[in-house]
Amino acid sequence: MSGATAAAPSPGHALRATFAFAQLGARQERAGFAAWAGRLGFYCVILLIFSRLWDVIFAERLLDDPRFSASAFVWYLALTEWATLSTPQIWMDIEADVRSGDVAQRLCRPVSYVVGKLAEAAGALLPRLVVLGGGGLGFAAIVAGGLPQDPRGLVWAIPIVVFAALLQLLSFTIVGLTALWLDEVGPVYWIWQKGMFLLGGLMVPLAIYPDVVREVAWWTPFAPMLNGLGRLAFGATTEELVQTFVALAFWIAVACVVLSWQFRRGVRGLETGGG
Amino acid sequence: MTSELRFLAALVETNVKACLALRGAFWLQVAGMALNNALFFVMWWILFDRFEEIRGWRLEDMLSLYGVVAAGFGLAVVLGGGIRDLARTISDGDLDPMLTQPRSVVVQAVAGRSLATGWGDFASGVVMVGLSGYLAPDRVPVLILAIVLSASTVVATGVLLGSAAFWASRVESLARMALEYSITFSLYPPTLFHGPMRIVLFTLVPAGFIGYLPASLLREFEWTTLGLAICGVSAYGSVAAFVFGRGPRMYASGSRFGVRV
Amino acid sequence: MDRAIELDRLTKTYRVRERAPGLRGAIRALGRGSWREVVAVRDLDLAIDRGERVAFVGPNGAGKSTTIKMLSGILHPTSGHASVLGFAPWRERQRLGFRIGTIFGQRTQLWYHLPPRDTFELLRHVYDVSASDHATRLDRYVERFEIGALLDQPVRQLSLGQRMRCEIVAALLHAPEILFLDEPTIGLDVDAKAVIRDLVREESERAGRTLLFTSHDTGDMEEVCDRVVVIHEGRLLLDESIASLRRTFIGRKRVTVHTGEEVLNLDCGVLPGVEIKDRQPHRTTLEVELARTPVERLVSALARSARLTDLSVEDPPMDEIVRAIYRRSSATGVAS
Repeated sequence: MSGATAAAPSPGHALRATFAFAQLGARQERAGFAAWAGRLGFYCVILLIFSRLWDVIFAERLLDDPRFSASAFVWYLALTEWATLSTPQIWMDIEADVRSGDVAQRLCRPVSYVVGKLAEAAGALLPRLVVLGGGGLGFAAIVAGGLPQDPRGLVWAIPIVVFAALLQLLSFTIVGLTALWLDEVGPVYWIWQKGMFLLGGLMVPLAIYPDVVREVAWWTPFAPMLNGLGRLAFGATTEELVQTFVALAFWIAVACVVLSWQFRRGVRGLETGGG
Repeated sequence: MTSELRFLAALVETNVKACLALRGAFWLQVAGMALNNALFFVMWWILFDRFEEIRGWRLEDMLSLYGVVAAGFGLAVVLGGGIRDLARTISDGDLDPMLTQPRSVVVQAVAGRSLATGWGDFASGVVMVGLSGYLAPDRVPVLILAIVLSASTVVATGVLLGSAAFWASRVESLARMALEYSITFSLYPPTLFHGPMRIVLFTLVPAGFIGYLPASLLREFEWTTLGLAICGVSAYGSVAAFVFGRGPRMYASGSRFGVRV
Repeated sequence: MDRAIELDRLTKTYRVRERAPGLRGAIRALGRGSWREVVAVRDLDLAIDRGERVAFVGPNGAGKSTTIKMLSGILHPTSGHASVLGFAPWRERQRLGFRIGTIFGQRTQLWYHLPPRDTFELLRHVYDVSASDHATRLDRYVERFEIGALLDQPVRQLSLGQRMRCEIVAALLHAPEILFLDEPTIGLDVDAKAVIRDLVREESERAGRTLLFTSHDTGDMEEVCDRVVVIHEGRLLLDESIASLRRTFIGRKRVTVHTGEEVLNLDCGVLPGVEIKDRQPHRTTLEVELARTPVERLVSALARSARLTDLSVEDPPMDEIVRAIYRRSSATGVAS
């Protein structure tokens, strides 16, 4: 290829190619009806189970903060699961690509493999957010017996869920790329997911945690990803909103840096490894 | 009969060998799963630390429930790891070589794979049961019984869910998710529920037979509980065997390139 | 019993979901699905004796693999009968299983992360082969198939050709009476194909094994089998021996001549039925219709027209024969 002088691609080209990936992702989403049903089903059942749990707990004792109630806790879970269930499990696809060698093939394409993969997943993410938001949050309203005390939080949830899901997506990508070094990515994902459970307060709000743990959690990307979104169910103070937005922006930036470094390092290993 | 047993033993031996063939991956999965379970349980620990008891359910009860489910699931996927991806096996046409061999297809499909993570689940499950305080030396046979009951239900559920692939297309991830959900739901204390929800957890989703009943045998052994558990497992097993048995006449095979792992 | 395989109006139909493209189509499909029936195999009649080597030839989607899968017990037919060694394959699958061997080119029964030796040992238990029989056969095949060095390497490290050889050994260890092979040489290079074909043919001759071989590579057909069954769109087009196929179907020969001159100057006007197929510098390929011009007349004409450095007279490639069969069948619209 060194002899020919290929025309430099137009700057819009890369953008259009990326957008094409996103469209592909969206189209593939429409085809998988069974997966939709499964996700929505799980969403509803988990809300049911936890609504019972919180009902029982709150019936037998009260928590200090008047913002907390069984209904509010159900809304908390509805919000965190909204982001989590909408995020495609991109790490599985990446692992499969690396194992099968497809990654090497896609290195030659004009759009970087990672960017293409992310665009595809983002294309799938948006329709999921819409459908799961409508269905899941609607169901939450039924189970929780109405809207949260301070519904303003739900309005802010709309932009925040997009960023939270995006951060999750980026983190899953980083997890997936460890396939370039490790035999099995599953365990890495589980540990990360447990981080989401514990430090992100995926199911149990950080509010219940000992203060020290809560403070530590906010130094990690998990808390803004999940707790920052979920606590909108309790209302939205300016301080909390700023904290969430800033933390999300920070960790998204960090994730992008880590991703590009990781991909460059990993791919170098692939190329020198031959095959 | 003995020939069937010898075949089963040989099959299990082969797929455990296959599992161990990738040494690094094996240990990574075992450790990862054990850590995974431990971390998940921390959430419950936090909850119980704050709220001491939930409807009569205490941390020790939660430990024993979780331990039995983890150990049961672990045993199920060590010996019958094929259940996790059964739907995919069917829809990819990977049943072909099993259908041409003179052995039971469901045995080959289920016992033809061993998942390394199962060892991690099993180990962490047993440890949790130990920590719960419900395990006394004379209780060990009961624990074994509970784990076997739980594992059998898991396998039956996996076969039943995976069989959906005989009749529907593109259900591979749904079937796998559904199996994982069944396990998830068996990890919540059933004292939370009453009425219709409770019935669902014992019929549609066999959560009660994977977790609650076997675990309660540990806490307090009662013959009626055992009888109920055995009935439940047998019922699920029969339905699963029946449904899977009707599958092959719908089987459409496939033309993908396949490998046997 | 002389008959190994017998088919009587065997039919297999699939129901395929038809869905209009786009979102509206997807939503509509949720309600009432519209189904389309695809006939993969239609009223197939066939009889194969023990020891015969039969090739099932046809283009992709012709129904070859479907037929083999019905005969080996994988698929249930929609209607019709089949008898393999006296068994109905899909009903008496397990009993038949002990007596047949299958090799699928696109699917392996070898365990991917383990050495072939481990799979062989497992298969011993699957087929209930005694330890002594197993050892004797394994020794023989290891030597004949030259897989000694491969026995203890994980299958994932073997090349496709090596894997195929192990695959065939795996299928032979229980001394099956019939071997079903579905595209066994797919993806192999020319050398590997030749080796596989030789080994398979030899094994059949030595033990009197019946072979049913599907392929869309006509080379497989020519090298291994004596009889050809051509399947097209699920129907039987032709069922003849290879020799008879050549004779009756096409009375042509292909003559390739190498000349000292760069271009061959041949007056084809005096040679009816002669067609120049290909021209290369110093090499020309011609096809002659034997009914109109005997080979000897063509050859003398060639010798007179040019300085010949090499000459070969061959049958046309089987590809062309098969294509001619398809053309004829679509022209007449009916199976011959």
